[in-house]
Formats: sequence, structure tokens, C-alpha cells
Amino acid sequence: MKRRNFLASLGVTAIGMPFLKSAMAQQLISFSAMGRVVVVGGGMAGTTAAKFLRLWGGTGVDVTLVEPNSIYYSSIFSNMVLTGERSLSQLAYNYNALSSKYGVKVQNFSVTNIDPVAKMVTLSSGTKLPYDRLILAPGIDFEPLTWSGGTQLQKDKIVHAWKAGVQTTSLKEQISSMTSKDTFIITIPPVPYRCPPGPYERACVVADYLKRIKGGGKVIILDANAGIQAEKDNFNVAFNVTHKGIITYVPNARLTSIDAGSMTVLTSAGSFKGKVINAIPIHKAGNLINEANIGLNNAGGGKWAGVNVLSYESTNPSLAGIHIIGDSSFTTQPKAGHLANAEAKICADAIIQVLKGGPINQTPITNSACYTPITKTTASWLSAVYRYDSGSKTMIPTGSGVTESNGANSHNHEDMLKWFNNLMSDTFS
Amino acid sequence: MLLMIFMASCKNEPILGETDKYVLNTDTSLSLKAASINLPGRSLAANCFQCHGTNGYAGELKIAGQSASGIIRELEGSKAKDPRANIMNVHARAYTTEEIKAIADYISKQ
Repeated sequence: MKRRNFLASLGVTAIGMPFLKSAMAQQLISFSAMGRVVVVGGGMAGTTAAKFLRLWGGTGVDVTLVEPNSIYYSSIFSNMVLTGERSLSQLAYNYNALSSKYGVKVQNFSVTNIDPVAKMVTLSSGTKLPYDRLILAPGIDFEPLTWSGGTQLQKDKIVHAWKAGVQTTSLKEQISSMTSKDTFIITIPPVPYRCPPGPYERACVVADYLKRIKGGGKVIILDANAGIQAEKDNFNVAFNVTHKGIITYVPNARLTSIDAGSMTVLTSAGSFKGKVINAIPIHKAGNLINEANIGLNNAGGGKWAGVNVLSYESTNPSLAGIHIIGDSSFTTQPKAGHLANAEAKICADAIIQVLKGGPINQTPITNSACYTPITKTTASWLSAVYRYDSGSKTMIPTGSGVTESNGANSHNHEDMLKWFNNLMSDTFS
Repeated sequence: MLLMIFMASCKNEPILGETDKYVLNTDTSLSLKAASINLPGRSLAANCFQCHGTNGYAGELKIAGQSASGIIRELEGSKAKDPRANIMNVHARAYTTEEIKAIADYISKQ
């Protein structure tokens, strides 16, 4: 951080403080980071960033987390809410530790304006928050579905449940009303979408539930993509062996429209009827990225935020000081909670270095681990470590590359519970 | 408040010591007291935190305070093993010997 900016962050100017010697300021600056950081979005990425800015940056970094909801429901593990293995309240997290343990200021409002020139965020409360660095972590939003029939009431029953919350409860109720003669349809959008193994995992746990609780049923996976997008070997076994006779996997099934009256899904691979339709729409960055109207959405067909993965600062040169982490950013890494946590730490570290006037890490490494329940008692996993490649300026899988477990078993299921608790704790506690 | 401390520290040498005191004294959180410790392996070790807890302090799978030599032995030994058999084999393979040393040094000092 330059001396001028450092003084500005203290609310004073060098004029009138003749005793303030540059050397003194330099020494102080070299010790501790000083500055104001506003973090927007209290999911896996934003919460981790806010926590680690304080943990690593110290009390000189003034951190405000802006998140309209006071409770965060974890999307990780929410597939198990659908089957009754978990309750939604067991997936509820709050920001109490963030403020009490780390001194993060929490503002439960939404953002109405970002001024990248004045470096000011305006909240729905009218409060204006000036920042030296702004981190945006608004997650994902969806393109609207196309309808070919049905009343509004019927359309309202077709949910994505791809953000844990009221839709999760709705889908759980619909699944519990199924019989052994009914069909559950899940549609998967084209990549990129949040949690690459997630839709296949959902198909597995719903199939397992139907078999265990209802004595049978059908699950049809309509995948817009040409093949399984994650854990190909494990899901092939799950679809063709473990859940044989229940799961039907249909690749290249791009969603055309849904008739909510006749409960028919029309795709490029034919039409399918089901009792329950779980349509996961095409994704885009969280609405803030597109609606802020300042040029954040400069990647991935204008739907995602382009970032420099050394710091997650926007690649739009007019947005200096604005960083985008988590699922809204357009990188070579998967859109997933564990990875969002890792991105947040790289971003927090880079911002602290910038505020201290030091160099940022030129060799960042992130990692992703994801445990996947295949049945009520077994799980598989997928993991990768990403290393910065200075040639392509992207994060590239290193070591053994993107690796899936050698099958699903009960040991992995036990590890999955530890992984989840520790990941949530590293983020929220 | 900050300004007053800053001014005070300018009058009283050494600056760094005074500032250090300020940061520690006004902070009620044990966690934040460690804020100034930036060992080289911190950013790398942070990749352990998701499964092993912040700074290695997890209820289960705790690694904080383990000996550096033990961590190095375990990770280096995992590099040759089938990555699909154990998730730690995937992670061990991703880091150079030098990086593993830095991670082990950081975790052992927590």
C-alpha cells in the first residue's frame, strides 16, 4: 500500500502532520495490512474471504460482509435433505463467529449500486460503504426455463433446488409423495454449472431412496452434455450396477421446453414424462455480476466474471480493486464450495499483500475435494489440486490430475461426514 | 483511535514494537493474535484446512502440532501410492518436496 493511500485509510492527509516521517510510515506499513475491504455474498467463497482477511490481515484490515440473509443453508449435503437423511436446519450456518471471533462487520442488506470510480458500494439500507478492495461472491443465478404448457401453479412445482432453501423442501415433499411406479426426472444444463458431480449424485441418492423406502421407481437423467461430467467411472458403476433398473442416463438431451400440465420434458433426445421434474436451468453468474452494469460480466459469453487467478481481480481494466471469487468467476476450476473456499484464501492473501505494499504470490495452488454419496451408506470422492500456469495464466490440475476414488464404499461415507464438518468449520467458524 | 496509536508510535521508538503491542492488546480473539505470523507455507498449508480444520485444528482429522518430519514422511510416502486408493495420495502428489517442507513447517508450528 502506498503511503498516500495508507494515510487516506486513516482518514487524514499528510498535510498538517509534518512529524509523520515517511520511514516511520513505511515501517508501520510493512508490519500490518491496513485498509477497508467489503465482501459481498456470505456463501462458501465470501465467508471464507472475510474470515481469512482478518485472520491473516489482522485488525488493521477493516472487513464488512454484506449478505441479505442471516442464515446460510449449505447446498453441499442438501441432496441428503431430499431423502430425509438430513434436515435443512442441520445445514444452517450463521455469521456469529465471523463477527464475534474475527471482528467482521456483518450487514444483512443487499447491494443496490457499485461505483468502481468512487470505490463505493451502496446497500439497500441506503448505507454507503467505501472500500479499498471489493470482493464479490454472489454465486450463481439461472436462465429462465421455456414452458410449453401448464398453469402457474403447475409450473411452480418444477424446481431446481440447486441452491439449498425453500426449493429443497418443495422437492423433498414431491419425492416423498412418489410411489414405486413413478418416475423422477432430473435435467442437467450444459457446462459450466455448479458442482459437476452434484446432479449425478442427486440421481443416485433419489434412486437409493426410492428403492429403500418405496420399493422401486424410476430415475431419468437428461444430460445436455455429451457425457458424465465428473467421476465418470464411479457414476457409470452407480448407474449400471448399483442402481441398475432404476436409473436411466440419457446424454445429449438438451432441454427444449417443459409442459408442466402433462409433466413432459421435451429435449433434443426425445420427450420424457415424469411424476416429479427437477429441472436445473442453464447457469449464469449471480445477478449482481450482470446487473451491476459496470462490466463485470466480461467472460464466458458475457455471463461470468473474468478474473486474474493470482488475485481474482477482475480482468476488466476499469474495475481495478474489484475481485470476484467462487461460482461467479470464470476460471478453469470447478464451481464448487470447497474450491470456492480455496479461491477465497488466495484472494484474501493477495489483498493483504497489496494492502501491505508487498508482492502477491505468483505460484498459487488451490484444491478441490468432493465426497459423493452413492447410497445411504456408501460414498465416492473426486479430488484435484490446481497449480498456476504462468504461460496460460490459468489454474491447471497438477500431480495425478482430476482423480476419482477407486469405487464407492462405507469408509468414504465416514470420511465424507468429517470432510463436510471441517469444511463448514473452516468457512464459518 | 488508530490515528492516536499511530501518532504515539511515531513518538516512541521502536515503532514496530509499539504497533505490535497495539495489535495484540486490543484484540480479544486468540485466533487474530496469530494474524502477523506469515510463514512461507501459510498459503500452501491453507489447502489442508478444508479437511483438517483452520490451522490444522479440526475436531476429527486434526494435524496441528504434528512433527514436521512426520508430516514430510507421510506425504512423501504417499506420492508413490495409488492416488485412487486414498484422497491424501492425490494431494501429496501435487506438491514438490520443497512445498511439502513448507507445509509441514507451518502445520508443526500451530
